[in-house]
Amino acid sequence: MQKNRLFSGASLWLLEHKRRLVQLLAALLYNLNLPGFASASIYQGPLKAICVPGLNCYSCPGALGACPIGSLQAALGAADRKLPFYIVGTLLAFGALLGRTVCGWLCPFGLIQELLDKIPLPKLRKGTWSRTASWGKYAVLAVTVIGIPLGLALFGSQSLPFFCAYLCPAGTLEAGLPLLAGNEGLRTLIGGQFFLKFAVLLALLAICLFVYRPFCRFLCPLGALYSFFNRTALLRYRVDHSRCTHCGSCVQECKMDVTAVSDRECIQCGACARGCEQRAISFTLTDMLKNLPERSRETR
Amino acid sequence: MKRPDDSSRQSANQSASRPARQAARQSTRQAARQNSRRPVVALALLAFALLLIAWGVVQGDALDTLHKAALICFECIGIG
Repeated sequence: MQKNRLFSGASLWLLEHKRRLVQLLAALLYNLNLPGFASASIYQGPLKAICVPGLNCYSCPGALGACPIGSLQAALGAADRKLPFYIVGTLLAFGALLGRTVCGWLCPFGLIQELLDKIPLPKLRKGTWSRTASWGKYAVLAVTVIGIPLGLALFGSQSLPFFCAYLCPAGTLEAGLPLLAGNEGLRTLIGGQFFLKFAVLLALLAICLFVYRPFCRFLCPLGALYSFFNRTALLRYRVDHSRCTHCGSCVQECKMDVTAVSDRECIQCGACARGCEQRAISFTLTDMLKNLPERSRETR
Repeated sequence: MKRPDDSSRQSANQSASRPARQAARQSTRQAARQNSRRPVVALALLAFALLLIAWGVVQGDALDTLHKAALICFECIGIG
């Protein structure tokens, strides 16, 4: 009896925290080369040819795969001037399949920001200011990820992944700090650029204490890319319009700058579905799984 | 969590004005039409993406990615 109660308690906890568990699992899977942290070296095996869906620096000692944004910049800035079909195809595949579900469920840096948001401090609420600032990530994508690396490769004949070099806080946190802590040779190379990146990281982590997911909302170029696919992605939250009363509680419940379920800002966290009293919002994957037994009965 | 309740839905609908109801109904129809098209769009994009990936692998892009990712990226850690 007690065992049963314990089991149902555990399953309830799992159900309520499933997104957090998936986030933790994804962060662990991306960074499974745990000995790398001890030796301050990176994994160099064949898996590094495959991009992970979330923002995870490929120079992190634990990283098993490649960072999609780093790889895109490297491909755009490459001297051979080939069109980067592989990276574009990979980003397109993740976008078509998942959209910004990646941000809400599979991004380690998103998880860090969410955990910092849990610290009980006064929070700055979303509004017109944050909706306007959310366009910033498209500027970061256009200028630092595509414009500067491509422009320099075409006209300046040099390669500079500008976003990685001057902005990316994930690179400083996941790769810079562990590698520099364990490698004396690298520490001798520290200069102004490192301190600039470190200042960006510290400022961003400080803002995370008062603003929900500031990097994802205002700066992340990967989120900007995936947002183009959010309305058509296979996995996303969907509104049953026959049940919806247009009360707007879904938008109010959400901490992101959404104006509708699954719009460009939606990270598919499910806060809208929990807040909907009409139960009009559901996840497409859950719908598919629910419909499977019915379909199999129909085909029999 | 409350179950969907027809009476609450009806009262919400009654409280809305006629033009608002018509607009909501129209957007519902539009959204339903879009919903039915979306899996096709996503699957078409996915198929195109797989084609690009295959073409990229043939072209040697995957090896380029491997070569970049297998070395410590000095720019990423802030010393490049």
